Amino acid sequence: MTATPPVAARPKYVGGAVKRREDPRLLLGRGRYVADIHLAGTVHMAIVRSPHAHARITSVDTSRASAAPGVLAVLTWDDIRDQAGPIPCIDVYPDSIPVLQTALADGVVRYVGQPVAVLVATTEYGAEDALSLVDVQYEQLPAVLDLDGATAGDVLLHPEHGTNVVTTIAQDVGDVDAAFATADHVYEETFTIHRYLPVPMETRGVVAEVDPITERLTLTTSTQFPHLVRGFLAGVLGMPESRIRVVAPDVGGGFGAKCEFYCEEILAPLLALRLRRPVKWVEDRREHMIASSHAREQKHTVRVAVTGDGTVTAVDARSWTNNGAAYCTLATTPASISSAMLRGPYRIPHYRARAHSVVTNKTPLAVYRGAGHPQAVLVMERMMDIIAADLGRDRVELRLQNMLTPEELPSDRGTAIVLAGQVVYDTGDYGYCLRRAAEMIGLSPSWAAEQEAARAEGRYLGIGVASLVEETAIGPYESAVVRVDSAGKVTVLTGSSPHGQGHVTTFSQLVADELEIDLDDITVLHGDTDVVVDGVGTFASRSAAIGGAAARRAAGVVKDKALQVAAHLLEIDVADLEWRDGAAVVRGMPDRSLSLGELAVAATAWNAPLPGGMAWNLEATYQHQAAGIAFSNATHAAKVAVDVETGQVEVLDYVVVHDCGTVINPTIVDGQVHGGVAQGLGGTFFEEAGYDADGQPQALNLQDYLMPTAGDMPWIRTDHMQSPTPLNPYGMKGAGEGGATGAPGALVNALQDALASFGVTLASDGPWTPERVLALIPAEVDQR
Amino acid sequence: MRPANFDYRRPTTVADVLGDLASTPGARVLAGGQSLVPLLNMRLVQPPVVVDINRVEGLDELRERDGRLHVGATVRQATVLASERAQRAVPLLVAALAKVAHPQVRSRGTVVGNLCHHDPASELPAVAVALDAEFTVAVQGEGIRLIAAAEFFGEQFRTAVPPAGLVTGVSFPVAALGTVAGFHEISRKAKDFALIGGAAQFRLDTHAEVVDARVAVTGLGHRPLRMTAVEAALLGAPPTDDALRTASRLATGEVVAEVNARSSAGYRRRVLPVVVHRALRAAAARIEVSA
Ligand SMILES: Cc1cc2nc3c(=O)[nH]c(=O)nc-3n(C[C@H](O)[C@H](O)[C@H](O)COP(=O)(O)OP(=O)(O)OC[C@H]3O[C@@H](n4cnc5c(N)ncnc54)[C@H](O)[C@@H]3O)c2cc1C
Repeated sequence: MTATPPVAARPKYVGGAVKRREDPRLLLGRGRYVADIHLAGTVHMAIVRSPHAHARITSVDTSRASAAPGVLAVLTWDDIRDQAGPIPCIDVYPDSIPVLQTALADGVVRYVGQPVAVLVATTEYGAEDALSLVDVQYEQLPAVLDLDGATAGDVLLHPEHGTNVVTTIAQDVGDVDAAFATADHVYEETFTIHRYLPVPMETRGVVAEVDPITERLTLTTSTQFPHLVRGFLAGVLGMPESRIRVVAPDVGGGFGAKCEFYCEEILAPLLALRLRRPVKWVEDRREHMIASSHAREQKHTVRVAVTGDGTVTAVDARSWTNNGAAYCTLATTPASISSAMLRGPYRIPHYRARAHSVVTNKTPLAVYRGAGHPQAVLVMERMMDIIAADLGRDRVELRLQNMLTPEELPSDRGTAIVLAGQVVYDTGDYGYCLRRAAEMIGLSPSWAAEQEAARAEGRYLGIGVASLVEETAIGPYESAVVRVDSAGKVTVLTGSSPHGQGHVTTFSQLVADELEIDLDDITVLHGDTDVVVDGVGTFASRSAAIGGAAARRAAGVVKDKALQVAAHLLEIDVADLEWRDGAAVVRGMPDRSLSLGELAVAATAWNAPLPGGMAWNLEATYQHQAAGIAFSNATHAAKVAVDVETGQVEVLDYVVVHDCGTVINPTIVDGQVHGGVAQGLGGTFFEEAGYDADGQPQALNLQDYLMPTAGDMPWIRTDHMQSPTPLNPYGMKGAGEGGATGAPGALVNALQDALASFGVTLASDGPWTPERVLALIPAEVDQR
Repeated sequence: MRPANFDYRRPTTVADVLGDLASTPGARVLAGGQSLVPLLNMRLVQPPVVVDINRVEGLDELRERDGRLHVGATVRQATVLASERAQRAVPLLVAALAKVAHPQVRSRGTVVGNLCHHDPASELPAVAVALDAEFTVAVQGEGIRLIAAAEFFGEQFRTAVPPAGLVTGVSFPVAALGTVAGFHEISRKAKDFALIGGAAQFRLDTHAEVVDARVAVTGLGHRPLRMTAVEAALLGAPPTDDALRTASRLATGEVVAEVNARSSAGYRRRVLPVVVHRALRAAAARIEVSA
């Protein structure tokens, strides 16, 4: 045998901090968002929204508005009731009470901001001017806003159902009552989690247009899932999907708010079909704060059974989610996730949860980065600290004692998540992430003494940790097409439509490694249902693990086929070929090779068909199906300083030790973690969608609704642990939501640690404004 | 969030501005637009005419004259913040400007526009009141008049500027040698409007004792309040931290709950002495530097 000279291994892209391929265009202002689309003849839509939280519409007079200059149409519910079905909810349980929203209010308005009428004018200014000319008469009804009031049921949103509790989810594992009967300690606490919003930088927006020749409808919409929107729209309008094209252009953030199908996505197409002109609407920030989905608001009451040695044996949990006035497209998912995932990384063999979804006169609530996880993590991690403090145990040690070890995985947790399925933890070393995070933040045995010393100088410091396991990468599937053209360039089509995640970069990395070609030879297309015919979307931290796996598998199929074609052309056995540097190479004869481009040409040569009926073209479609849920895990650790004279909290240090399986691109994963932490920090200290007693929203702009900015952010230190999942061939799990999931728990625990000497027990996620923090501190403290 | 119809004028002389303002009741001056444009977009104001003063000659002057620093109506906040002369002449103004918004806003927003807008949580009115600033106001046919800061600020978002009036500038007394100044505020997050803010300035005489103390607080009620009891308590003693703290405890003033409702009246009352103390401490920290 002749020795083949060693060939330097081609460097792999996967795992490398490749710069985002989409950034130069976006950073140079060359993004194309819905607002940037200007079609000839466009007319502008504006929505008359309810000023009341709960009222009967007694009359709508559109005559003045219709007569206004430039106004082309004004529609009310009566005009569209026969043409538009209700907005679907895809995560209902079999016994859920249906409380679906219609595109315009059907006689009763149930939240401030609900669409009541819609109009179209030739300019956006004219449309906004005409809004005040639509005369709507209301008869006000009493409003119910809080969970306790709504559960009591004195005011009903839908009297025909006799209750405001519209879904109850049950999770039952083991024998909870027996565990409590033998417990040495029982802890009970009630937690409130407040309402806040995803607030993407780009608000929503739509352009609907009907082709006069083909009669096809194109809806360009700022969405996370154009393919699902196509299906929803077809169903609601009773139109074949083949007549609908949905395009998601550049999308400036979604975080769950655009993982929804909205009234405006029905109204604009209806008007375009009527007027035969492109109809455009771009949500303004004021509308966004009341008309795009809200998030988070829950109440949890938990009882925890603990034995004398600190083993947590059972949790008995009840929760209520304030769903607002109606189901969203994804309505029960937050309650479902919170109840299925409450135990996080802890063994806790006995578990019972009842999770209620409750309707109130607030904007409908849906998923937001982390969905129900951040709430569950806050509750469980606060409880672990409460138990540790009561038992005089070290917080880290108590957690480690109760954590599942790698040897115990996979672990069927006995719970289930709607749409996603059974909760079976796959892989991970939860204890490693916790120990490492505690070490990085300085939570050592000497911490208490350090804290005491600082307190003597008037500095109130606190460290908090929060460990989490998180459902990611849910199915059902994602599609990918990989196609090679005659120049050897590769096009990847993915059904996972990004809105800031960097799919173009990470999917290119995966495909480039599979085919051993350069990133620049790859084009990734997405977000247009006419280009990518089949797809699901981007949510639930699924894209890399499901969509990325599909893309890489499709590339693998293409590679196999290319080898077959090469074998045919070279008249040798395929086993004598190997794939190297984007070419089929004869083993041991590096000069004898055929490049991807040459093979693509051969695969389309009319005069030399491939043998045995092999399909034309170097192209493959692959559908990766999720065989189960991949569970990421992390521990967050925060160090804060509280100014006890003013109640201001400064986050001094922040650590995330994160495990999302195989990391495709550490820069992108870090960015996902940073962004998520910013949102969790915003929710913990600043953001609040408050309502007054009449149901009037209190934060209608970003002056009243405070978002964190760079100046509010700590320097976040991350460390990665990689426990690949067996659920796809490449080991990726989801990385998109862990940042937001862990931050509230870690920050509130840190605040608790800082204020513990005042005898407080924090049982809310905030927002911990200076005022709320100062209220926990006795006034004498600042009289030093 | 699109403004209602309005006419737009962009005169180049003060006389034309005054003419435009006088000819249409309800006409509004546009300076940096950082407050007016959001109000227009939200239709909270719907003026028939907007008079843009950014091209008016002579309004962009920042200069010292007769012992005062004069800030013209189109002088940007960023310009003053970066000006060494302003830092020397009116250090309290510069200390406060560092807390006003962020660079993007300050590069358009004007000092005068900020004062005319009179947000009850804004930093600059406290400076104007503390230092006895003087506003120059012109009205067509009435000539020019001076309005003292103590008379300038009305209820929140209101001033003594008459309808159709233009503030052509504001002036602050130039600080005597040895003057130190500090501004401290509590806000809900970095660079946000203040929940409450304190402006403090004093000078040390040859015995290193405090003279000419000036303290004002923003955010409590409709207009900034001078803390005269604090000022008096500081005089004639060295500015030790204890002295500053003791004097701060004398800070009082009516808190109007519904004004600046970003925080409750109770909160603002509780932190009032803290803010005053920290503003004084920030000023005292500059003593070495300026000596
Ligand atoms: C994001 C953001 C954050 C901010 N944060 C702060 C903050 O922390 N603290 C703070 O104090 N401010 C803050 N502001 C407000 C900012 O300082 C504005 O610049 C200022 O309030 C108004 O100045 P302007 O030149 O932009 O005035 P404009 O917006 O043009 O005008 C404001 C008002 O004053 C009137 N006016 C202006 N000039 C004159 C004149 N010469 N004569 C008569 N009337 C006049 C106008 O008619 C209008 O009613 C913030 C603004 C933004 C957008």
